[in-house]
Amino acid sequence: MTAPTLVDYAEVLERFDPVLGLEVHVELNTQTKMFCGCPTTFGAEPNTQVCPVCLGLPGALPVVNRIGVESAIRIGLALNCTIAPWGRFARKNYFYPDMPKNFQTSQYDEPIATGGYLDVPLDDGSVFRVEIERAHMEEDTGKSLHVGGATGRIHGAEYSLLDYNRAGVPLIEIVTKPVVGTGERAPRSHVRTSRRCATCCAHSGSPTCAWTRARCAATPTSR
Amino acid sequence: MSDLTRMTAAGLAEKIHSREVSAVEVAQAHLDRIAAVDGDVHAFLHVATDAALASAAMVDERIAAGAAPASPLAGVPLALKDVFTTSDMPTTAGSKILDGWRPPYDATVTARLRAAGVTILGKTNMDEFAMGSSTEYSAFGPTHNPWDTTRVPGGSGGGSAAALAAFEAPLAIGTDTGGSIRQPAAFTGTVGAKPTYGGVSRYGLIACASSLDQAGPCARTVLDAAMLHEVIAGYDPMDSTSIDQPVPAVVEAARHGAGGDLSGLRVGVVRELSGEGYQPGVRASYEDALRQLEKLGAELVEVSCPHFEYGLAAYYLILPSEVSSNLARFDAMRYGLRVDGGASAEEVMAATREAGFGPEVKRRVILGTYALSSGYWDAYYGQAQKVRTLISRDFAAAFEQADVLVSPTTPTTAFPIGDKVDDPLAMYLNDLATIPTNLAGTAAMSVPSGLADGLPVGLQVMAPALGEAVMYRVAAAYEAARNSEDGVVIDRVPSLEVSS
Repeated sequence: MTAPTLVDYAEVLERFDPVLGLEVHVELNTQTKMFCGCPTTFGAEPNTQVCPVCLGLPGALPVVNRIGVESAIRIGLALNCTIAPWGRFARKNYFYPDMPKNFQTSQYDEPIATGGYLDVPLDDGSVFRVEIERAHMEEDTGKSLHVGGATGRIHGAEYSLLDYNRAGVPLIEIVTKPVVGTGERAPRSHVRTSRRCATCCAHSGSPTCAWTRARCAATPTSR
Repeated sequence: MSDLTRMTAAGLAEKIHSREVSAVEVAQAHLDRIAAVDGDVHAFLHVATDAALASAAMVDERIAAGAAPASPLAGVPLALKDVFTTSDMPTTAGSKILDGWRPPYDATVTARLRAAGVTILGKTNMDEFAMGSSTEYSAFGPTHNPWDTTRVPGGSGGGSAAALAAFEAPLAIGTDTGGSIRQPAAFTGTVGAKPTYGGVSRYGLIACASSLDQAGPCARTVLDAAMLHEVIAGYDPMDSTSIDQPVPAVVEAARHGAGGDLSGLRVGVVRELSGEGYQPGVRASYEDALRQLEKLGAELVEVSCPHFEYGLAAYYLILPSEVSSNLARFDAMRYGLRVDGGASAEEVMAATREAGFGPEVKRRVILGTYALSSGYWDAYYGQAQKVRTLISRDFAAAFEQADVLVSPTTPTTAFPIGDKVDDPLAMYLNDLATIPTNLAGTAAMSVPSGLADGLPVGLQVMAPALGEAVMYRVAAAYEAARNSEDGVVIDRVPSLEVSS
């Protein structure tokens, strides 16, 4: 087997057209969590902002946060999306120790906002339009701290600590359509896009919606 | 057996509130009865002697101080199915995986019972996570039917029903996902009602299948069940599926019904639920019940619900799917059993679930996980949901022709312990007549309709969503007529005192 050779960036751009899809997670700055009344204050002592609902105790049931839904609608409108007149949450089932119920309450086939766009000003003065596939509401997981391993990951760790303060904090996930035609501006334009998303959320006019931390995952492909 | 344990809840409440007898005496009489017979019955998983007496003493103090009782049932003892969280008692849901767990919070039903001054005697046995029709799938051993202790009391709420039939409590709470209140009521000669979905809060009810589960009252008379119904029912902001509407006036309806006049009322006889496969004694009892309803002035109308026959198949896709997701949280990370079966979190989760879940729970978790797995959702859960819509339409059409529908509650009377435990399909058939109501989210109850071969039989009365008033009215009218013609069914239960 021959060793793979690393192709030069300029050559890549010559041979391929980069296509990127972005998933931007914006954490809402609501006072309480998405499905219970626990506070969302960042940096509190571990496991002090929890209750039967966000710990997923047997018998507990979620009640949706009205301000969270309002914020999602405002963000959807700021992204020029269509707002669904009716919605529901779904369960994303998978096992992980920092997920109290071993499913994440999220929106699946019926997101609150669909089909919008975002105009992103670039450094050269041009404006690049990014099409928005959808924006949906979901809850965050808890946090794991893996101790004793070389990588900080669960594999190889000696033990793990779990903090459920973040479990149930409201998130808005914004998903773009595949972004094509950015060429060599691809990396820069995508950083811009995710920042623009976050700014857009912050200025969506929601009384409590300000982005504290936005996380962005890019799915690059090429053609 | 003390006379106090033979009384109805309504009768006990009257005596307690008029200070003829104290709530503490009533509680003590029932605790004594539990001590005497529960070794044979095994209705209870936990008896809360001190808490029960303390709660009863508070009711007595309040009445002695001249204050009005907290509710019409203040001071009356009750047996609570061990699927509701209780902050002062263990809560197991009949599973080893929760053995010893002490919840930090009360279920809404628990809180409402406490606020009403009801004396909670303890927690009752059940099939693990409410999956089963015999209480044999409890991790803590089966409950025995007081009518014949070699037989099952039904399930999953066999403990609650057996506690009533053994005169260990005049009231009990059950939950009904596919018949778990009504089938045990039928098997023990007691009354059990499954309210409209959303009628009673599910907050703190450990979920089996969330879209089907519903808590409800169990008692020895229709009026007692109605009184308990009004204590536990009503909107709860902690349960988004609870109905924000006034609770139907079921006590008034039960009193009205006991007058015995059903003229002008149309009773639908469901063709698909009265045919083959029913034990001859059950059919005879049912035919006699129809005759009695007619005698009370009701008009009998034959109705057809052609999609009911697919109910069982749809149910056994929807239920396991929801179970597999609901039971995922039992992973040893936060509470309950923990088996350190390996070095990694995944290994600990697997070892705990292997040791903590019984065979029926595992069967349904595997079935549900398969049905929900990628690419299969549409073919299984999705299709089953369509059947559910068809069943709802069958009900809607039937309720245009009739005010209530009736059927036998179960195809047979109580079967011997061990008879069906290794044959899941035979076990599932028990719930043939009760499942359609859960799928549609409507209301139904079981009321004793005499004996067949010495064992109790139940008549099921089904009503539209929020139609509980007419349901209780018909059940009370039938109960009164049956009792005056043939005597009270529960009075014929064998006394267990000799064997204890």
